[in-house]
Amino acid sequence: MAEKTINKKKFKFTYQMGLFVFLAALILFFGGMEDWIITKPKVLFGLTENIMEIGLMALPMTLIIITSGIDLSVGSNMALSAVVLGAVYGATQNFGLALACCLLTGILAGALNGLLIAKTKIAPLVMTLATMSLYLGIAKIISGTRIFSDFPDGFTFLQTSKLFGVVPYQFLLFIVLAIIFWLFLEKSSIGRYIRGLGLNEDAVKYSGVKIASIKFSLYTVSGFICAIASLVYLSHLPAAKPDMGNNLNLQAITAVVLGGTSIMGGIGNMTGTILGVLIIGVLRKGLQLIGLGGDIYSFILGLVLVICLIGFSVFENRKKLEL
Amino acid sequence: MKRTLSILLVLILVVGMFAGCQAKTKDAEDIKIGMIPKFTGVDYFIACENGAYKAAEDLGVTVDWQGDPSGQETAANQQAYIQTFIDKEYDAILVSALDAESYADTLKAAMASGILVLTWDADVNPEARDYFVNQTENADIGSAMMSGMANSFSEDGKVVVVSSDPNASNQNAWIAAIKDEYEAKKDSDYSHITFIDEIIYAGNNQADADTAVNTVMTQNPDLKGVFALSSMATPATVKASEDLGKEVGEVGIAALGVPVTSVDAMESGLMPTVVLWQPYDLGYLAVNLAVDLLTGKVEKGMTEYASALSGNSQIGDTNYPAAHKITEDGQVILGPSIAFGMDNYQLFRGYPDATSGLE
Amino acid sequence: MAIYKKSIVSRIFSRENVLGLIVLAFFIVLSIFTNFNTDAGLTSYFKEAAYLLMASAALTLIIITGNIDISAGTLMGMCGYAAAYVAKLGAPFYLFIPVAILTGVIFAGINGIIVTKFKVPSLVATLAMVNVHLGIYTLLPSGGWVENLQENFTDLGGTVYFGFIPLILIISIIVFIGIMFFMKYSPFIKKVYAVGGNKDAAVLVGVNPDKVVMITFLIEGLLIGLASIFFYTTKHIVQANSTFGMEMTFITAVVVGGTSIAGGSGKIMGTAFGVLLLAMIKRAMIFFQLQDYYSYAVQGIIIIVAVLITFVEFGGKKKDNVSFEAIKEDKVNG
Repeated sequence: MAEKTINKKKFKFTYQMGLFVFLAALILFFGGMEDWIITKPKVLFGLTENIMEIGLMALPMTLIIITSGIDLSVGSNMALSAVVLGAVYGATQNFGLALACCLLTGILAGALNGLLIAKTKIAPLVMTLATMSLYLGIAKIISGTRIFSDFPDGFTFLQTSKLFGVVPYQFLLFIVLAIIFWLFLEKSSIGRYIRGLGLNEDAVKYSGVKIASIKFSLYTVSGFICAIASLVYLSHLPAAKPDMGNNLNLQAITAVVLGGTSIMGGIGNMTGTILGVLIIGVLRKGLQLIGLGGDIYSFILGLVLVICLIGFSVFENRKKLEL
Repeated sequence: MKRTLSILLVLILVVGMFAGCQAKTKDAEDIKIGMIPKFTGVDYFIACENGAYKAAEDLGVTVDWQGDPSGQETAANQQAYIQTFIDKEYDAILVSALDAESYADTLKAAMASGILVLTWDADVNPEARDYFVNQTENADIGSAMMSGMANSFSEDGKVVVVSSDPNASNQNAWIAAIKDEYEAKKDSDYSHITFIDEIIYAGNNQADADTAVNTVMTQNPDLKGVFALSSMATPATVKASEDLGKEVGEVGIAALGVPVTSVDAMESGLMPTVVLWQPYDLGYLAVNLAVDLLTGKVEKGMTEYASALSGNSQIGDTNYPAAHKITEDGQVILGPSIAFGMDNYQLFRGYPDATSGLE
Repeated sequence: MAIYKKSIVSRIFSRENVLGLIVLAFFIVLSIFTNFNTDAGLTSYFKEAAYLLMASAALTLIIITGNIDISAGTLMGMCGYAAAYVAKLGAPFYLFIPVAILTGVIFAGINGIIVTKFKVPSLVATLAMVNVHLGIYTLLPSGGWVENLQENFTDLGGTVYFGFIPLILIISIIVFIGIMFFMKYSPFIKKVYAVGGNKDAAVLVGVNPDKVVMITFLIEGLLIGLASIFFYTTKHIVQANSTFGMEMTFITAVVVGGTSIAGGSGKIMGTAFGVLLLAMIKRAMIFFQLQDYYSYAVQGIIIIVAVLITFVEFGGKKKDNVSFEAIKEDKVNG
């Protein structure tokens, strides 16, 4: 028994270490191809530029996937929150009010998912597929054909202001939240229940844990984080439009799965997700540096996800045979 | 584990701080230009690309063309490409902007770090760029299209404007020019024309365009003319006419379009001419101007600019004027617009091949 | 076990009949208030229904097995591009139609392999494949565009009988009826339902779930290939990525038609009504001057409502009970 536990620990350690090595290798690879400009701190932290909103979304997504659920509506949720922010600010010039509305939108959108998923047996897949469409539609209705780009001065501080002139505040925000999520998953009892939900939901239910409220909270938190992500996104591209969130859900899910979380639920950790996010970020920035555009990135991302999923599946099946 | 990560980051930081910020000296022939179209893989921008690369070859500079395929283009991606060119310390960034405001800050940052910022084909906020290479004067397009439309039918009828999307700055400028021309003569020459208030946006997707035009035609059976300001609009109008059982020419089209792609419509008489210019030359001019600005041949304050194209053939025997006009707000005009028809469409340069239309 | 003995009342008010009534009601309303009932209006409507029928039927089968295919939209674009490319070279319909079908079968087959051989859940597998498809488009000649299509291609979509019945609709209906017969009489279909309902139990009774799912994906590919023909021959330009996101509409039609997303149950007739209804809603929005972007919100709401109704209908029962009772009570019929 004891040996099995030790082996398991070794396995997890190895995979995340492998990710870390891969990350370093990517940085070296792209750096070598482009005169090492990647080692300039400005550029290095520029790696985090476009990836932080995905990174934020990946944090609650990890928890949700561990419960063998999924949230496909994160991109649309973010877009809706951004549009609400832009619309309210444009109409009232009151940033506090606009901010409150934005966060509220994210929370409510997440809560709708949570409510319907927790209270009914509707698969999270279908539910969030529907809300993904719904939130996108609402965002489009609110915007009409406008793009909201009227924001107060200094609004972009998350991106442009940097600690020590180098580290963007949005990156710090991500690290702080990542640590919080990590602690939650690894160290709290609810974290254990979340793992349990993914492995055997009935068992957890029969031990008296309030599954419904856990699920509800997870999706609501996801919605809240989406609203925060919208702030991050807007701080580097201050234009709120309904389709700004398209395809972000795939990238967030890829980061999570790449990090070692199993899509079937029950297995996963935050460290892997963080590494997954960084790897995707480096991949994206690196591809841009060598002149390959967004379409190649999407393509590679799709391939990476497929290969990763296949690899996991093969590995898990082999493990099953061993046991 | 996390500790290892942060130690590594700090190490990179330290190394980077020593490695960074080396000033580079510029050689006239070491010029690197980053060029970003609205999107790639489409006739118009392929022609621009071919022209730009020809200029690069003629002038001995490097041009990197970076864009998304049509249908997947976003302003966010354009911003990422701009940022990459800034990171790589290119000498000039030339962009055909998808929207006029979103990444103005990034462009300003580029200018602040000494990079030349030009827009071409589609402008941004004038504060965020040094010059705008405009294919033709907006007023020119407006009056050409308006009078063309007015001449195509004489009974009373409605016309509608189909544009690509609400944030397309050049389309909006042309719409304004068309409306100005209309206002000027609406009680006289154009008295038989009424504009439908709404502007239809075709998007960049043929299926959406088809639906949009079909809708407006269905809702307005007395529609007599379509101002097709988007390359999707013409085929969409043709299709909608067919689907709704209209006669050829019942709904006239005044269009901007790439001639080669519109051959069928021109041949059938549905749209005898399309108005455009030489995108090949537009691409060429943008690069030419960038190089001349970087090497000091052109300075701020000049009201005219003679490029390699000036005085040479625009199409057939028609030549470009001896110098390009530079307006007060920093627009450099390529030249007058061209009406392409069955007789001269092969003289369109740069598409489908890099050598098409070149004598 | 008596749960599924339905009373006369509930048989009359079965989901499909109610849907049929709604469709009829919509039709009448639209005809009165708009020019829906004209040749032009009906033609546009039928043309849209033609490809939706095929694609939604394809997805119905996939969903019954308990899987999903998010890449159905981009898949259709791929097939359309292949067919158009060949047609541009001069190929007549009996060449470019098989090309479309072959493309569909190949790419759907790839999805199938990933799901069956590599055991990757279909949601994420097909979600990733969407991006792979989009990437492939960019590698295609002219970035996935084919322009200036000629009569050999467009005649198929343009032919209309009696002024308002498009040829493609007729073909589509014929194929669809074929599918219905297939579902009623084929022993293969019973296996499809079994796999969707309770895979382990299906294995115990001797069904090979991997083979069943794989074949289902191949059938999906075939139908999507046909759908792409019906969709694209009505146009003069083929843009491969213009179908991005369409799978939402297909799935909506399936779900509205009563098929449970959990798998194991569903009638193809329901899907047909779902298609008719959705196409009508689209037309209605155009006529009532609602812009196209309302459709996203509407689709989302429709899915939520439809799924809720399904949930209420089955009273929250776990899906394993559903399938075996369903097979017993012959709910399998199309």
